[in-house]
Amino acid sequence: MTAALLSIRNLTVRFHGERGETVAVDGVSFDLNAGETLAIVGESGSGKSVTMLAVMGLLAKAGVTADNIFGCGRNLLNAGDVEMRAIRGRQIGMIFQDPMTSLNPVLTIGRQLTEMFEIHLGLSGAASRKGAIDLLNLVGVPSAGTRLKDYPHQFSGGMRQRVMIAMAVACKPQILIADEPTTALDVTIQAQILEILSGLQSEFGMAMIMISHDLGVVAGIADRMLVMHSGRIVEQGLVDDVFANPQMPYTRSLLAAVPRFDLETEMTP
Amino acid sequence: MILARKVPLLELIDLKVHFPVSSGGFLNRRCGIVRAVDGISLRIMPGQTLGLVGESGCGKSTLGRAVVGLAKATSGAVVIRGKNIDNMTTAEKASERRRVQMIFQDPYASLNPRMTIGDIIGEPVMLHGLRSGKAAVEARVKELLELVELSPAYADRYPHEFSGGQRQRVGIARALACEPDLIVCDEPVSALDVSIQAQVMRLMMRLQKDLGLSYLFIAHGLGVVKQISDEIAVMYLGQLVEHGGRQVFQHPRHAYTRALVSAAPIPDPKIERRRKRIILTGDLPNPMNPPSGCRFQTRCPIASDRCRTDPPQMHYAENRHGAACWRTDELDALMPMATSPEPGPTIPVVPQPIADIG
Ligand SMILES: Nc1ncnc2c1ncn2[C@@H]1O[C@H](COP(=O)(O)OP(=O)(O)OP(=O)(O)O)[C@@H](O)[C@H]1O
Ligand SMILES: Nc1ncnc2c1ncn2[C@@H]1O[C@H](COP(=O)(O)OP(=O)(O)O)[C@@H](O)[C@H]1O
Ligand code: SF4
Ligand SMILES: [Mg+2]
Ligand SMILES: [Mg+2]
Repeated sequence: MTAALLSIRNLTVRFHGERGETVAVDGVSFDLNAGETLAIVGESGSGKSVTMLAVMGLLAKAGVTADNIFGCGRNLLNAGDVEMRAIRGRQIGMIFQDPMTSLNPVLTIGRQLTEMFEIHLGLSGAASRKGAIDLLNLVGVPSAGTRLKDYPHQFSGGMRQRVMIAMAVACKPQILIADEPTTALDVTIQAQILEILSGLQSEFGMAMIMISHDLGVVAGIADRMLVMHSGRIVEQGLVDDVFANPQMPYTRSLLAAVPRFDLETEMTP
Repeated sequence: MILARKVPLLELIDLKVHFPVSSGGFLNRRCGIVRAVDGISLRIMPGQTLGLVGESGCGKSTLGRAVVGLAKATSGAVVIRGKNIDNMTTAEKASERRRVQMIFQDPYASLNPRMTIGDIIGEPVMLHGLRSGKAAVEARVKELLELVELSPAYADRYPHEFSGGQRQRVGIARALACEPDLIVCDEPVSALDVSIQAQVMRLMMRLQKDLGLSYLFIAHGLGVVKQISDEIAVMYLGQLVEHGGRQVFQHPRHAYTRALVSAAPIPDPKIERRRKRIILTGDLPNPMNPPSGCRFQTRCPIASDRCRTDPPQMHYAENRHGAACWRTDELDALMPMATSPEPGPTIPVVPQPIADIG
């Protein structure tokens, strides 16, 4: 039995606003095991994104408390900014819902990709250019060589999300965190992106945390899942168990609320 | 059967809505035409719901806007209760328009933030002279709030005080204030969490039953569309590719619908694991420059030579299930359904999924 790649105990995140203190995440504990895909589901505002931002060290330290955040072989709770930045580039890759906000609009796609290699892996110009082309090919961007000089706005939503994925996996991270990576995309493009993600995962042996509000996506990609509600984990387990036999009323109502196109059932008004 | 009952509430005949677009910038030259809706014919009978699905940019909203008169038809006809809207007198037009209302995806952007809920709902009541006198209008507003299951006490509040689901109810109440026969619902639940979505869907279905409404229900989620619709139409790049009853999702007759249905996630891990997805390559083509022949040919895994040159027409089978696809009859062999209950014959003629990946 190997130790968990990521281990979080009693994570709490508070924000101070005009209306006083909000507890966005309230005593969350979970593990991520090597090679697995863990999904986090829950309604909007339930604390899914904040949980992961806290783990990645992307929130103001003052609001974040935990008994323990252990990942990539070290204590992430005490890691400094410089150390966290290196971990985020190399050991933990991230993909966000809206790639436009995470790609730099004034730099070419090529520049942004080669930068990853130069900064994190210390590669030369030519080697990182080759790396960038290989990566774009890997995530299915056609004619990658000529597209390196394009800017993000010249790419479609699906293509930008591929570029984001390419950047996130550039350094072959142990952990990939994807926050609603397909929510903004159409179903047929979503299917392409999910296929790429599971392909990369088996190729690199990455563990993945997938935040999604789409229970269908979760059913298709995850091994285990956490259900969040008001900043707390209300249920967790293997996807098969949670879908087939949800223990908590909240989970049950969430599953029951999804209308099915594939069944001959009808909802009674 | 009385003849009058057979008159469709809404009929679209070869409707086209084109937008000229310019390059912007210094010269601002006209550089093309977006064929957002490009020859669509369909009808909705009284009390029925037509669900319209398709990917973003395929023209769903433009079609809906043309139905309510927010977008101008380039050609073709919008016929309401048997009368072409273009041939109506101004007075007729105004009264028919009132009876066709629209609700939007983002109820916040469509509600005036400086008006109270009561004024938002009361305005159309006064405007169309449906009640006269302050007291009667106020009473009607309270009635409408109750109809959408909101407390009448909310009449004095402002939109920002409400959650997304409540705002969508206000949007529905505002549409109902006009006493419509048809409501065009443009992605009404797409921005809502599933549990709120389920509540709003339930409300819309109850209202339909109680008031005898018709809906043109636009969405990209197959589940909600199936839930509410009597008929389903599938759009691709400005045109209808398939149209029929529930069989549209159960047994699609167009290659695009098959791909769409096979790509739509199902919230059941056991089904997901044994499904075979048809993964399309590439993006939706630019509607300014649609492909020749069948518009889906650039992404269709089974496109033939004829598909590249001749545009397929909509053909209806006996069960009134229509598709515009040259290879309809070969689909079961070429693109077997991914979730057939028993493992059917699988003849993998479908090209390598995402062939362009390393
Ligand atoms: N920077 C911030 N300042 C104050 N409150 C915040 C901040 N970021 C998030 N919150 C609050 O924390 C709670 C959890 O937010 P979070 O973004 O994690 O939700 P989520 O589950 O990811 O929702 P969604 O599905 O909408 O993405 C919400 O109430 C949100 O308003
Ligand atoms: N006012 C407009 N001017 C120019 N192009 C438009 C306009 N409205 C819509 N379009 C274009 O028409 C196409 C269909 O758009 P839309 O009806 O909004 O699609 P959907 O609702 O299916 O996502 C898109 O390519 C869109 O960019
Ligand atoms: S007509 Fe041809 S290209 Fe179009 S969907 Fe049918 S098989 Fe594919
Ligand atoms: Mg979030
Ligand atoms: Mg739209």
